[in-house]
Amino acid sequence: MLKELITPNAANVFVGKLGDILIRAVGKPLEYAIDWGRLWSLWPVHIETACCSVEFGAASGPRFDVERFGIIEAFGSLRQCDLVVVQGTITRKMAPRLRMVYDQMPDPKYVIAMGACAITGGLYFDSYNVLPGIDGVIPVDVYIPGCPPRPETLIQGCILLQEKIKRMKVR
Amino acid sequence: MNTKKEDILDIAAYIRDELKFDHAESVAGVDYPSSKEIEVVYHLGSYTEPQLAKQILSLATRLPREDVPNPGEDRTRMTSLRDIFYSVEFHERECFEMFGVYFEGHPDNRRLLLPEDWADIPPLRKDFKIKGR
Repeated sequence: MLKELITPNAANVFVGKLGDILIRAVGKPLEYAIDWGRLWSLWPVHIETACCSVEFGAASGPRFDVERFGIIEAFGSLRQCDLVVVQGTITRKMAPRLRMVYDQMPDPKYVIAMGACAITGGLYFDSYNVLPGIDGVIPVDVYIPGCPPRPETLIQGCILLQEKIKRMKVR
Repeated sequence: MNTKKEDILDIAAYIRDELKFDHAESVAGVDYPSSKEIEVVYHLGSYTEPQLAKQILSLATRLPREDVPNPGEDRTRMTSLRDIFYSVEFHERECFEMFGVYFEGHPDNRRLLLPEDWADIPPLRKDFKIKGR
């Protein structure tokens, strides 16, 4: 009966159906495993343009210690990273450079906008050269408000991002 | 000290040679849209004369202002003081991009701080509008 089904005309349909069945069977657990792997090894790129970088430094110190949650501070190159943490004001001159940094990173990649300046422009929103929020340049996953946010807030933002990654579809 | 823009080179040379103010500390621009003028202010100081160490002399001149600015091409231009006070080179470049004042005789009249693709009017003029998001 199977032989009658696989005619040269219907071969494509049959292979497609087989793929669907395979994805149903192993897709979910595989997705869970991949997401779990991504979750605990976030390697950040730091765009340190303002005072939020000091709070990030405090958060990676021994008192708060972000490494407990799998956010490791040191990185080798942009091509090994999967998280951009924008810590501060982005000017119009900086915006193409930020986009260049984002484009050099491999997929999947996540973005955290840290502090009021990265979210809306902050104190400098009515300046001629400050970008009113980075979400016009790169897509943002998590916004961390504050001016600057305390390390606890940063840790909460990181946990929120991990919750988001846990529910993400793997392509 | 206010001068006409034609005389500013002679007056600056006099200030340097006779009054011993030997360097420029800043070059500022002021926009007056109601009287259609732009004022350029040079703040001059002295390193060589000890009694002038805490004195600042401001030398100002007024230039015509265009409603639709075209930096480098329109009437908002004056003679550069770079041959007299060497330190104004970068200040005049900044004044050029922020107010659209063209300095004739300046050796390197390029933009200094603005983005490379800036296509708007000079940003410190009073009629500059912020675009928002």
